[in-house]
Amino acid sequence: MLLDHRTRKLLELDRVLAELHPITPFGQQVKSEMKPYLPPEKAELMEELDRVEKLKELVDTQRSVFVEIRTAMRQVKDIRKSVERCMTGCVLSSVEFFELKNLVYLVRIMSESQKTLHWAMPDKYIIQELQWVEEILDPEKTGLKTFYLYDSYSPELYRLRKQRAEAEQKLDLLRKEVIKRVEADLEMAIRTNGEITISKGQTELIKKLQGYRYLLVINETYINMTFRVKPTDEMYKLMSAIEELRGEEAVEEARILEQLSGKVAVRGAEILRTMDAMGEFDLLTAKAYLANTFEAVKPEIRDEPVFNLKQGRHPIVEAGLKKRGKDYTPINASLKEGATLITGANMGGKTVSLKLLGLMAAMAQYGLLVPAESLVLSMQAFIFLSAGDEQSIDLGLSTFGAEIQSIKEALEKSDRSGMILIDELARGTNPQEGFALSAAIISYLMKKPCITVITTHFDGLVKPGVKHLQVNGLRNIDCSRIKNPEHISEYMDYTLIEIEGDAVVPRDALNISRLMGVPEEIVKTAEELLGNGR
Amino acid sequence: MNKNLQLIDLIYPQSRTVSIVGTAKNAGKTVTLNEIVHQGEQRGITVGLISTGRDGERRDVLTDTEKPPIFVSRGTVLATVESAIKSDFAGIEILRVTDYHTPMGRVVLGRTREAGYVEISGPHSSATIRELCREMKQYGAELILIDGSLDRRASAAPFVSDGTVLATGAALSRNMQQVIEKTLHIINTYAIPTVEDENARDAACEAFESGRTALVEADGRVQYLETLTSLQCGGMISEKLNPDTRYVVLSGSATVETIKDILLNKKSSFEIVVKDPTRIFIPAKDYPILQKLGMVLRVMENINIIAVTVNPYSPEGYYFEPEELLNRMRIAVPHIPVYDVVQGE
Repeated sequence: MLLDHRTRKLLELDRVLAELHPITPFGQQVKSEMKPYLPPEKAELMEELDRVEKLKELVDTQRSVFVEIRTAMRQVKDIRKSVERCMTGCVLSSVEFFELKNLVYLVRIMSESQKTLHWAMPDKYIIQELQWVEEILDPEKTGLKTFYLYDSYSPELYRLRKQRAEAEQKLDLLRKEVIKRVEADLEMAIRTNGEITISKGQTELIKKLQGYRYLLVINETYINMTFRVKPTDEMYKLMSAIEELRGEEAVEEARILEQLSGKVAVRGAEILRTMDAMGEFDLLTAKAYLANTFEAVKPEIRDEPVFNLKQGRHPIVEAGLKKRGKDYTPINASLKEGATLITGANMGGKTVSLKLLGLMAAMAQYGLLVPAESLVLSMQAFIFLSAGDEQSIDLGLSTFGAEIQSIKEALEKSDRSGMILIDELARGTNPQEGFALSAAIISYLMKKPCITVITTHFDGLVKPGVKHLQVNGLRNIDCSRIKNPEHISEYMDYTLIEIEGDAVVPRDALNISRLMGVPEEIVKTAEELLGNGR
Repeated sequence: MNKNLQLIDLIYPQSRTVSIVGTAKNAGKTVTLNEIVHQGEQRGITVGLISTGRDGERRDVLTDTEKPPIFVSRGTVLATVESAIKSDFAGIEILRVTDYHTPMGRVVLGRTREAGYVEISGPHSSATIRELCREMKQYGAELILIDGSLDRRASAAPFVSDGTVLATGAALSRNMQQVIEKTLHIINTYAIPTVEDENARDAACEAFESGRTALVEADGRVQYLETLTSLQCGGMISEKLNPDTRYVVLSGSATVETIKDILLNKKSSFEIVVKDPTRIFIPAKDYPILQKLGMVLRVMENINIIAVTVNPYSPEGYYFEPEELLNRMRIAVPHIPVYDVVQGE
């Protein structure tokens, strides 16, 4: 497993993946099954990254084609269940055939658009036209998206429907004739449905109508009597013929549905394959769109353990800043196997920068382009982050206990090529023991094959063989110019710079405390205690 | 009233979307609907049919023992359900399968390829009904009839339909006088006058949009209140009433409790405004009391009742003298045409 649940959450990988928007149900499924590539799959990862980069370029140069494909994709429904059912020998309903016909229509639009892309895409992504389904479901080649068992499906269906229509027409004529005759005989108007209602007060008339051979009593209340014109023998014959034809038609329709289902079932696998391809292409396109949104580049994958980031940006933090009208300061970092320390000012973004490193590595292995100017890295077997985490504390461990628990886990993994990121090592205990423990852990990890990055406030942990990155911080700023604590972030220089040789950890804690409004008396006392009243 | 004027003449072409609403189960809504469909077809109008969702009225269809009760000609556009597309009903060409689910399957838009019986269905929400009505018009329907279920008079709401045909009858009460009074109450509620003051109308629009209550004062000042549940909003509104209050706009429903709460605390005379008459739930017996308390109800838009149909028969086995019911209803609502579609008059 590349990431455990906690690291994944701390890196905010899921929030990055939430920005990935495949459109079709198939694409969404492929996304939900997305797994990171692991070191043995280097070749596959490189191919995937090449494809995403290629597609990103196509999205830029042939945008209208993608607009067309994605418009069609929005209308696609998941009909895999119907196709699978059909393949097991079930008969599909008219509604299911309608949906299949619609899919085929959309597939044609997508397929034609796909062909215009300047890319020799692998088979996996090719949305194959389903011309043969169209031929089955649109025998008259009308190009309509609607579905009905049209007369042209079988000569028998045509014959039955024609006969029934003729019979119905004849029956209608006869009914009108009889009504006319009755109206003439009785000199009374009869309603179009062939009924007439007479008040019981008209006893004479009722008697007369009851004796009249072409009327039937169909309803009687204490007020009224309703009569209906009696069908003639010929009409009865027609009525039963119509019923008969209706029955035969139902049988014929069922036969046609069965036949169509059979034809679809034989090549059902092709339909399923088309939907799979649609899902793959959908997700790949979503990755390309995401790369565009993030202004991301293709990471370069190396065999030797290396991590060289230029102008990397944490996309979630960047988006949050942008909303508030602020800019994100891109970070450079070049890491190698062994230990690297990040030191620097409080509020200098050490934690965000540490998480950025992990996120970049994770995104790359998920086959995503990364928001940076460039990133050269090796693939990791695992990425592990230990940082302030409420969850473990909930389990009943103290802050320190939780941290040590997670660091122990990290140390167990350190013999494999991976990435260990520790935020504020030994932050939860007294400075003397914390320092000693940190020094020992760094000594241990610097000899290991994994890439370790640790942020710390402790002086003196840097030693030969340990890389040292420092936040520029408020170094070049005259703190007296900052009047409002909310402006600290504006003066803060989040850039990481590489320090060679000895360097002290910058002391900004008191400055920042003063800016944030801690009483002057306290800050003064603290400065005196430090003995460097600067 | 011109005796020769048929129902369809009152409906079309003045209105293009008409709801048919029954005052009670078996009040004759289906007969009315069939009659309008039939008259429309005879005039060569392409009819569109949709219903406000099933309400269990036609249990017989659920058990498949009887044919659905609407008979239409070839070329009718309709909203139906998946399960009703089968050979014993009229053949239906499927135009679109929607995402709205019903216990009988998804709602499907289709067009009949032959004359026959059809099952009408539709989504519950009035906004989606309106959407589907628009789509049916694109498929060629010239007159859309909405089969409004009993408990969903909302289909009569002016924003859904241009007008309503009200079906009433013996099923509403064993006493003819009560049938007439209850029907009259519904008609009067539907016809409640609209609010005229432009300032109050603007405030009302704003209030409906945001789901808040608005209090409009004499000088035009508007106060909006966050009233979450209409059940308790009466008390909240009462606290904010002052001698200058001229309009109280309720974004939810006007119920007896809410209105009483408001009227008992009034410090001025004002009009109570709701969106449309389907938001008013005041039984006839409470009306006089509320009016004595000073209730003046207004709506943003009222309902255009095109006609009333009466059915003298009750399924419980009693009948009224058809002529008498028809005539008494005509006298009770002289301004609205009344038909007896069962007797064909």
